[in-house]
Amino acid sequence: MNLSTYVVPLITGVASGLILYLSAAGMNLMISGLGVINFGQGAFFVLGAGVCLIVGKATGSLLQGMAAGTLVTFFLGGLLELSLRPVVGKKMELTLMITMGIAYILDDIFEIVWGSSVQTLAIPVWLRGLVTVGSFQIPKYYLFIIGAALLIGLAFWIVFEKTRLGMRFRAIISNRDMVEALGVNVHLSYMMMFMIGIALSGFAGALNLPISGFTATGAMGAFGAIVPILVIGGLGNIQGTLPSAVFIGVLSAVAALFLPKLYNLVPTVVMVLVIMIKPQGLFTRKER
Amino acid sequence: MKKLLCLLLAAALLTGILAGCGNNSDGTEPSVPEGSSGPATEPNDPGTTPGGTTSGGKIKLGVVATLAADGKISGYYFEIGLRLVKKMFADAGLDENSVEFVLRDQGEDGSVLKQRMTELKEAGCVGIIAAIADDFGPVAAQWAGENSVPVLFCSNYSTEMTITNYSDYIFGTGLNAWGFIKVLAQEAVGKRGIKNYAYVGTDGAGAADAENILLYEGQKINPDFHCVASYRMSQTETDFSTIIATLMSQEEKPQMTLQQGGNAVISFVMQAGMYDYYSISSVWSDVIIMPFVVPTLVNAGVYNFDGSFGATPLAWWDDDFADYCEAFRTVGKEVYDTDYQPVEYSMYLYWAGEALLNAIQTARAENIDITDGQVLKGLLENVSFTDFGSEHHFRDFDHQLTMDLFFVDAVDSGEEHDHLAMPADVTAVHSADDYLPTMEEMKTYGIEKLGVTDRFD
Amino acid sequence: MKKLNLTATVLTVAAVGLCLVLGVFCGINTTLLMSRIVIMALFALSLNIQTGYAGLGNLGHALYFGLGSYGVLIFVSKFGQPLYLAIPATILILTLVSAAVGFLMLQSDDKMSFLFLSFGVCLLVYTAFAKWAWVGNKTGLTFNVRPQALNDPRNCFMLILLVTAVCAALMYLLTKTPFTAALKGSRENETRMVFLGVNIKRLRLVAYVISSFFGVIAGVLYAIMNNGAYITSIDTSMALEAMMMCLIGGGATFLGPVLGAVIVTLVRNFLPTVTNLDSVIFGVMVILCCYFLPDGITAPNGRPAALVRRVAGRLRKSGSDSEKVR
Repeated sequence: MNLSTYVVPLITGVASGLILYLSAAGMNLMISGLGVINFGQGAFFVLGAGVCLIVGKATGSLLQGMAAGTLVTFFLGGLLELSLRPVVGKKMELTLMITMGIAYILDDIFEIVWGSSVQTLAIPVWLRGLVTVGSFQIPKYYLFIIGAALLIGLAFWIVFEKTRLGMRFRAIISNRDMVEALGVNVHLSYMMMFMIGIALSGFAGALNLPISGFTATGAMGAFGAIVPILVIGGLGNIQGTLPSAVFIGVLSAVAALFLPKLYNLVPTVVMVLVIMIKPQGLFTRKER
Repeated sequence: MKKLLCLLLAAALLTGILAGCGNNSDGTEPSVPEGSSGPATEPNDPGTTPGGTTSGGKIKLGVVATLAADGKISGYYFEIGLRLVKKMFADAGLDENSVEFVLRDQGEDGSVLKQRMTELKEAGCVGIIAAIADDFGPVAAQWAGENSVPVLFCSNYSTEMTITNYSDYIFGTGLNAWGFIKVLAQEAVGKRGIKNYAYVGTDGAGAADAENILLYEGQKINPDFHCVASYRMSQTETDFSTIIATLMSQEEKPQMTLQQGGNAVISFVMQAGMYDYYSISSVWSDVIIMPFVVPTLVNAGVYNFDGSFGATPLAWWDDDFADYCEAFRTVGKEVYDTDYQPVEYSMYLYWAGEALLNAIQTARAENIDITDGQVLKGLLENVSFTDFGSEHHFRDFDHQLTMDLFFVDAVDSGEEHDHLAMPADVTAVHSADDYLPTMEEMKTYGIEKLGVTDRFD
Repeated sequence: MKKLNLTATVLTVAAVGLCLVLGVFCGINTTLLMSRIVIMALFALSLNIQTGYAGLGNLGHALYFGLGSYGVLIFVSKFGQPLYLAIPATILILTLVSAAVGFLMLQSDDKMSFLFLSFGVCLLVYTAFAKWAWVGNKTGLTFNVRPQALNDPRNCFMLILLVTAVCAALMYLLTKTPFTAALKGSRENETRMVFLGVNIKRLRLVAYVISSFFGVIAGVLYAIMNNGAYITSIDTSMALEAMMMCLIGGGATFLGPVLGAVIVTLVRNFLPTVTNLDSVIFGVMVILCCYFLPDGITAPNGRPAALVRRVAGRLRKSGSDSEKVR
């Protein structure tokens, strides 16, 4: 059995995982910072794709569409934070239900505005075709995805670890009350966290548009796809999101290669096993 | 505690009032969805007595469909399709005063579906058109048998309904799953000499049917026909790239790929295009040659004309059918302000309407009272009509509506593709007698593969 | 043992009587609707033992509901057993399964991981069943499991009401025991309970098993009502709906979930016939409820209860005034 059978599926799996990584990272930011589980993360994923579709068709440029998708979701994230402020900190189920209600509403809105047929956008010419690396052939767009996702991930890491904003984020995550007591305006930081978290999902959706097309009812599916990443990486564990997403990507490649009939069962089984054996997640670092 | 019980009592009273309201009215039709400029569908006349009617009096027909739930592929095709059916009745002299259509939403599960169908029966309907997802077929068949009310099932008619869960009161006006796959197998294995296949589909009985029958029929022609890989994904999955990459990297590559996943086939084709998948395999599906799929993919530069095959019961080149499409578009413009092309499901609905019209006209001609479902069932078993060049009647052992099936090969006409033109060459016409499975074949398959021994005795 | 509250008892009996009247004498449509409402009420009540009393949010309770239905169908259609054997077998087996599953799920004391684990297990079983031809893939199993007598929807409804009433009475008695008091304690102040020597894990496990037991019964009733088991019964969206019932109705009181079940089922039943935007309206309803009634409609500290108290007080006052005049 030669190696080439495995390489391209693995790279493809990792690329798909990296798209989900962006959405999952945004979710983890909101969980760790505000304790909010955003059931609507999938809906914003779809919204990012939808805005990208409209703007992309109007301007003829996919990249402009992606930028538009990211910006729109960025600002909506701020609105979402404002509307969730009265209930943050109370029962955990409340924010869950509210974000779920929002997902329900957006579902219908997508249907009405975009229609129920699948629509798509053409990839720009410079991203079409295959790249030949040795004896493997990988579509250029997938390499673009890997590059874009890692770039955003890097940017995120820089902001998080090396800037004052990131420092405030880290402080809030480790000890919210103390930060407030020190007089820092936490509300602005909360809003930034939300906006970034949602924008990441919107960007991921826009990135995914030329591959899968825009489906108005895709919100719950998009959410379900990131749950294994969240759980395996550790809920709220931002550093664990990237390794977890790559792991899921590899897992889907393994499923495609060896367990085709059980393809969509594999991530769920692994997720359940992880929660039972190591509930904090596989990729959590021990607290210093 | 006291206050709570007061509240509970109030709620129970509210229940009673609302339930009482639900009991009296025969059902309301939902308001036309947003974005439309058309007139709202007329509400039904409340308070009519349940039970059958005499000839010359009003006949009630129930319609249950996915109106407001998640399975919204129905949406426009159903709204427009139903209006055209009503128009067909009106043109034949049977307007709202003679034949009334009572509408109900299908609901989320089989239990709600049964409840709705019982409501329709209680409201006096003698027959029901079920434009529902094929997953709900067996439940509809069970209900039809239990309640002795004929149900016209307007969706893919699978072996689960024709063999395993068959009921005398179910009538299938949709495509026969077995026959459809048989045609594909004959074209692929017989005519093109394809030796293996890969299957990519969703979980569900329809998928199992498709793959099992492809293998069964394929091996009848070439015993060496075999499966390279078989994938089952969830219905919401749109990411096939890992699967495509795997199929392309395997030692033995598939020569044909049967793709069943509704709208997800669009995502599949997009990703297949990126990987140059068509260099190893052609893609076969019922959707891939449809006008609502092709232009989207062509404009995105990912549609492969040489490698896309499918079959359809729609006679796009027939002049009468063009008239039907024109009528469909006109109504679509009225209601939704959009140009819509009919899909297969709208035809199944249309044929159900035609069958019922035929039955009612025969009853009037022969002075038969359609007093209950049993009478209507007898009439339906004898209907016969022709449209768009194809002859239709219900077969007696499985109540499958006969229809011609056309095998199509997508062609690049070179012109700009809009969604109103079918970009295909019809390479073969299969008449019902050719491609539908015979009773003997079904009996054998039932015994060998499904463990059903007493179905055809 | 407290004296039985006469007013409360009379009102309860009246409410049940009203249900009976509605279910049996108001036409088949109402009977079917009432059957569904009563089963959902039992389902919501069973969930509330975990969510309301133990404070354990559970997004996968539909698992036992669905498996209860499937169990009955499998025993009767695949193994050819009579109904009166299938039902106890299903209940027994699934209760034992819930003990094992609950044990594994409660290993960590974290509530959030329990939430996700319950979601995950439910999703897992749903996906596995969708792939499994023996249980009917996405269609489920349809088979005639009812005895002849229950084919009349009214008789079926009376059975459902009887079983639910008995189960509700049992659950109510449970709330009067020190077990529930300890459970509520573990919800409010875990550390303190541990200091008092209470084994929280065991407490929660017992609550989980009892909750699943009644959930399975609700599923069994559903199978009898439908002559079938459908995969939508195991779907996580059904579990979410159950959570919503508990939330809207209020988890703090015994009958809160019942009210929630009535409201949610009625809305889901009638809304799609009126508009195509039922998802939007349902979403808006849930959101408004979360903002204005965070503890549910029947919360003792909430606005509706305060309103009822004011009205009752005014009624009492006018009564005593008229006595003074005399």
